[in-house]
Amino acid sequence: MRSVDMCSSVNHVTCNEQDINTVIDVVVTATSIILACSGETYRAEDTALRIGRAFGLAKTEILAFPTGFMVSFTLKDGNTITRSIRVSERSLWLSRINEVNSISRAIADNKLTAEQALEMLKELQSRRDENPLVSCLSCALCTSAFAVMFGGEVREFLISFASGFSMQFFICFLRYVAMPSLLISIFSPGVATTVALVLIKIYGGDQMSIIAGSIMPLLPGVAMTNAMRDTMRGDLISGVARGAEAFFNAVLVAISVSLVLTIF
Amino acid sequence: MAIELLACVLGTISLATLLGQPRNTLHFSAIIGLCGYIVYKALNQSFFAYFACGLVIGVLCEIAARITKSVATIYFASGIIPMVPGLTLYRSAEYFVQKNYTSAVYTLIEAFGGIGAIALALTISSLLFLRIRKN
Repeated sequence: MRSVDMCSSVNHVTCNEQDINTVIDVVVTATSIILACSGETYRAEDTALRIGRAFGLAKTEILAFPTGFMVSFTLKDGNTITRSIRVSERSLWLSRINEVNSISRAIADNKLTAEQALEMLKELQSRRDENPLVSCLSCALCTSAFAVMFGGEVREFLISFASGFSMQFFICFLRYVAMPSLLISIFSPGVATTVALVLIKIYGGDQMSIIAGSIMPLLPGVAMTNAMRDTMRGDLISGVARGAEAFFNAVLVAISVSLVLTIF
Repeated sequence: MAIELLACVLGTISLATLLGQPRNTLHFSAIIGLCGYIVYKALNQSFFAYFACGLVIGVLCEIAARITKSVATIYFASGIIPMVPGLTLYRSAEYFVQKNYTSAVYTLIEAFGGIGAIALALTISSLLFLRIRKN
């Protein structure tokens, strides 16, 4: 227990066996949260380096990709510890990136000990996703707003509200039963299009604005932006990987929509 | 026009909620999305318009991030969504159905070029900000 007291004193520079493991856990958890929430690769690397420096490790080296990272710590006595971590599930969750960033800044300002930081990060990692009802409603509002933006009126608003709601409901359900994310990106535009087409058959309405609005939340705007940012910073491998992901997703949306349109 | 802008704000805010953006930053996203869309409309939706609105959004995102002391990344996703070419992608899907493959691939590339132009402009403006902060 004494090591804990020492660590919570003014400086982090007191490092023994126990502390080093905690520090390494902090770095690994923070980096994997950022990558799992589709944060940029350079941000993950910067965070790891910043935390390592703040806790007084002699040297931290990290090589991160969108799908995993390798980090090695050189200790004061010259030993090296290396961890390699695979990040298998990726989704977009903006507030978590923000919170990890503020935790790492607090560490850099010597406001948090390793134990406190680890506790906060673990809590962040185990936090449940947003209430499904909220995400369904916000997705429905998003799709119907864009249907209106593309020239729709009241009828188009209501139909794309229904298709957006059922699409997000379907996505939540597939995530709940742990479907592979590839299947989710293939099926979800199809579900939205099917619901929209059935409702258009019954009530009528402008097909183009409804379906174009419904696929808006699925388009890879952020993935493309992150790909560009990674490439510009010199992370060529991450940039190409994310660019391929973005292109693949856009093509999947187009194929899925056209498949359903062919059937109807 | 007023309805279009209102729909743009509503779409931006609800996408931000969907992607888990912190609740107390939603009004910044609305302003960013609206400004980007006005620039995009004012430049007549050309290829250059994508680039220009990307630059505007990038600068606004960095400013909002400085004000709220958060990372600029959280504003990008919702800020660019009104300009993301969903309509173009839908048209491409429709051409695929009509077996008009030339137009389909052409439109697909056009949609992708639009996203690429926004992303490039966003990156340029945030890199400029990085230099300003360091000097």
